[in-house]
Amino acid sequence: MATVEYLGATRRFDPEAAPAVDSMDLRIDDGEFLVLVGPSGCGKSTSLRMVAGLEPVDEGEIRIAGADVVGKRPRERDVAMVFQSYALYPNMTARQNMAFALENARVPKADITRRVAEASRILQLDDLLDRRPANMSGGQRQRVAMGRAIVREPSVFCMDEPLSNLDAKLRVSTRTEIAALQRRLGVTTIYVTHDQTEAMTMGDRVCVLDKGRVQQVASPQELYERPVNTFVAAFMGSPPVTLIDDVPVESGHAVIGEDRVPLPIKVEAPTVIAGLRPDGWELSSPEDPRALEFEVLLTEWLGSEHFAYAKPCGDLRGASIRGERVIVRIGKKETLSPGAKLYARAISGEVQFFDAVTERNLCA
Amino acid sequence: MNNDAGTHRHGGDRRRLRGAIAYLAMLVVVATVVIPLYFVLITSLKPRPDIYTQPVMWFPDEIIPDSYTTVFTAVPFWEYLRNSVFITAVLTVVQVVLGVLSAYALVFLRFPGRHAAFLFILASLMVPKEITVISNFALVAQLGWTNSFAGIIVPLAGVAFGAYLLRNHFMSLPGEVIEAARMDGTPPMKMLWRVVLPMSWPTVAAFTIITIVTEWNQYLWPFLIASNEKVAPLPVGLTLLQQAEGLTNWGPVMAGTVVTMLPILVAFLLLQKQMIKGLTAGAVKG
Repeated sequence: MATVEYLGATRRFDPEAAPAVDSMDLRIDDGEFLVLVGPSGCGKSTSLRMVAGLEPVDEGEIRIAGADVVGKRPRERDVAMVFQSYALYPNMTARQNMAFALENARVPKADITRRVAEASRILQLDDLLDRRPANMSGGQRQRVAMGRAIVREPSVFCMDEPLSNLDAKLRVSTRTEIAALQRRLGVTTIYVTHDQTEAMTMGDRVCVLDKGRVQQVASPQELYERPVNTFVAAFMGSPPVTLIDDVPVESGHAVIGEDRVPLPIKVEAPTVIAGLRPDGWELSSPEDPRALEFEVLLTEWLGSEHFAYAKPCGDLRGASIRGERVIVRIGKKETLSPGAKLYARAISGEVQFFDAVTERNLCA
Repeated sequence: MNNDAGTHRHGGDRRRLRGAIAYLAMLVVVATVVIPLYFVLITSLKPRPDIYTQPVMWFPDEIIPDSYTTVFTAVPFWEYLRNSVFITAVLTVVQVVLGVLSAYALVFLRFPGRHAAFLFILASLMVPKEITVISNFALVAQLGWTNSFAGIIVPLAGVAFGAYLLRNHFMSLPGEVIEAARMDGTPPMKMLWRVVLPMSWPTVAAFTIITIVTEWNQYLWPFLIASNEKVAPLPVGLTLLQQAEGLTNWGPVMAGTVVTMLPILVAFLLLQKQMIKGLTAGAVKG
């Protein structure tokens, strides 16, 4: 059991270019499940590999259980890793794959047998123990890879997109299994993913990265409700938030079309950016003078929810919608075909406001 | 509709033509390999007068093993065979072991001068053997190694090719498996034996067979160093058959060639399965 701390940790692949991980500061508590999330190339895998010891730290420190591990070999760190490709040894059976690290550490034979049996029981691997990876399905290989990490009883688990090679259904069930397993074992876990749904459902806290920099570290709920900037707002949540640029500010109100939404704090700037989640809109009618008019492009019916993708057609008073597209949650029974008109207005408590220049949340 | 059928038939014709050309090319390649071999074999089995008849006899009237008897009696064949086996075995073991170890060091160990070492190996591959023959001979003579196994083996034991081939193969192994082994705290030699080599047998087998064939067929260098059956390998010994009776004695030479080829054929049969098998299956996804 251990805490993991990044103290200004930096990794530069190319001295000319921007660092892959830029002076990262982050503290992961003992037993916490922390998810690192961000788009491709944001540095999430690199920062995970820095903890594992597979990637050097160019500046700053990384501490595991209080001790600086920079320069230490992976085997001296007591960290176990689950790889995206699983990286099982192809010539060994599941049992041998799991026992390998323990043999290297000269754990007594009886202990190895006991620990492999225990991991096998937890992960329901008993039928697979004498099979080689070539004769297993993707889900089975994934479980063996988990087993290989568990038997070591490490202080930290590092998981690098361990579910991305599974099919959608298995991914959802394995997601909950991993989260439950982590809670049961209580081992500090760093989990990398590019999938914001995985991030929201699995993590105690989620760290959003972009361009090698930490954007926000918070609980999934806080990230969704109080994103620090437009990047976090746009990245978290599915379908994504709609951002409206250059919304005029008039006497403490944001003017969205004919509607006036009160701003939560005093704003000096002439414009702000408004962010609305699909459920931040209220459907209205042509008679409502405060409603905005949209033309439906397509609808997505997901069973429990129903979304309309639409483009604005009314006067926005100089404001513009990013991507020229809004996403609105509509009633399950609603029938809207492409080309139909849609009238909606913002629910005032549901709008998030960002600075027009820095794009930071005005309330953060 | 008619048009469609027409193009279809036309396409079929072109495909057939392409197929015919491909088969013709294959036939030419096979013929260039098989005809000389066939000729070697029948010449070794012909009665002596038939070898020299004009026009050439492609199908001998009579098959006799006399040439083979000559091979085993006229020259110390068994000594040559023993020398060949010894030289090839030592060179193959040395080249495979050193090749694997140096490639492993080049790819998986971090040490200063790693890149320089690799460039040096690459550079030595680019020097033709013929150029080093004279200086090597002078050195071997100085050491008093002429007509000795050391004189034949040591200069041939360079591992540049093996190191290069195996390095490229090791670089192509799935990186995450190697990283997993690092995370599992695998010591370097165990990493080689339990992780790297099990994924590399096809390449190692291919390199082994290449080495066996090359060393078995070495001619120029052993010819320069060996002066009698104490150390001379088969290819050098066979030349003695040639001049046995003042005129080129093709029957026994061909019989000797056939006998020399046989061990290599056996080695091929034993190792070909290993070469074809893909062993990384199941390591990573897919």
